Amino acid sequence: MDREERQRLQQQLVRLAEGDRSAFHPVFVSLWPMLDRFCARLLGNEADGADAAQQALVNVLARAVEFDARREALPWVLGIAANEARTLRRRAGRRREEALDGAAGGDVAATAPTPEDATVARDLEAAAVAALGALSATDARTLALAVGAACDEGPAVPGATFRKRVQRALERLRAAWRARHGEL
Amino acid sequence: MASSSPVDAAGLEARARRAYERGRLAAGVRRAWPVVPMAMLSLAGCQRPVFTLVAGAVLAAAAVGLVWRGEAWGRAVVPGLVAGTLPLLLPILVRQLHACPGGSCAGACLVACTVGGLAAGAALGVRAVRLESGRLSYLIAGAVIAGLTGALGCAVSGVAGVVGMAAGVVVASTPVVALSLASRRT
Repeated sequence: MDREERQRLQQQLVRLAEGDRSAFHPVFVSLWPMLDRFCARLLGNEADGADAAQQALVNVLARAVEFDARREALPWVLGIAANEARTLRRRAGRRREEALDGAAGGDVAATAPTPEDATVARDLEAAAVAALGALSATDARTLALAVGAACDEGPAVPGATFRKRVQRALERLRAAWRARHGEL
Repeated sequence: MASSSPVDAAGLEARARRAYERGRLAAGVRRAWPVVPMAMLSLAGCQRPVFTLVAGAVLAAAAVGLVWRGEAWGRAVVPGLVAGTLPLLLPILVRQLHACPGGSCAGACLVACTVGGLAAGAALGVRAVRLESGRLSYLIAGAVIAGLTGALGCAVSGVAGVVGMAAGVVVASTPVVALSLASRRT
């Protein structure tokens, strides 16, 4: 928005604050595209930006009567829009958290094991323990550290070395599994 | 419209316009709050509850409506309330302080109402003359608000007091109206 447009917006907003309804449409026309772009840039998403811009525009015009002619119009408008965008982002974040909580709760209910599932899981666990038992103590310890089962301590070797050890331990675990149960 | 998102611009404009009008109405309510203590003062000082409640309600509605309307009409509301404070307070003070020359409180209150009305009209007139535009609407709105505010106090001396006060407002502000009309013609 160049200087001339800013001045025009200032004058129109002053007139609107005074109650001159003929300034409504010009204010609307100059604010909407600007707020749409501003909110989209702020939220990094056009759809969320459009939602925030619409609400911001409604808020700006609802508060137009409070606009003080001594203030600059553009920062005042953008302040309201930024506030609206922040509110929308917070609300969206809360909704996502609630959805995740709900989904987690739903999964628990949906994945409650049937007796058959429980039996299969027990068999798989026993097979996995047997395959792990065929590994050396070092390999078993490396895999326990890798899956976080031994959370009281971290690997005593550098990261790259540890990753290599995990890889080798997994290869040996696969080989032990194949020897007992065939290909997966 | 340069928006890249598929938004119903006409619907959005209608929604924004409703929000704007609601905002103006809310501003009117906020600006009309002094009517409440004024009406309470009138209730306590004049003992004419029905008149006070009716005049107070009309004053509040007029103040809210004028602020909502805006421009010179809305700008006159606060000055009207301030100008009307004199005819509101004078008769109540005269009665409460028993400042009744010759023992006639009714006469003293009538004089207080008329003097208060004249002062309110003159004050509004002086302010209106300074305006570049909208003098007449400013004066009409200011006189209505000042008259209703004064009526809350002049209820103490009955219909005569209210009429005297209203006459004072009109007489003192008439020269400004005349001036305004004359300047429109030229």
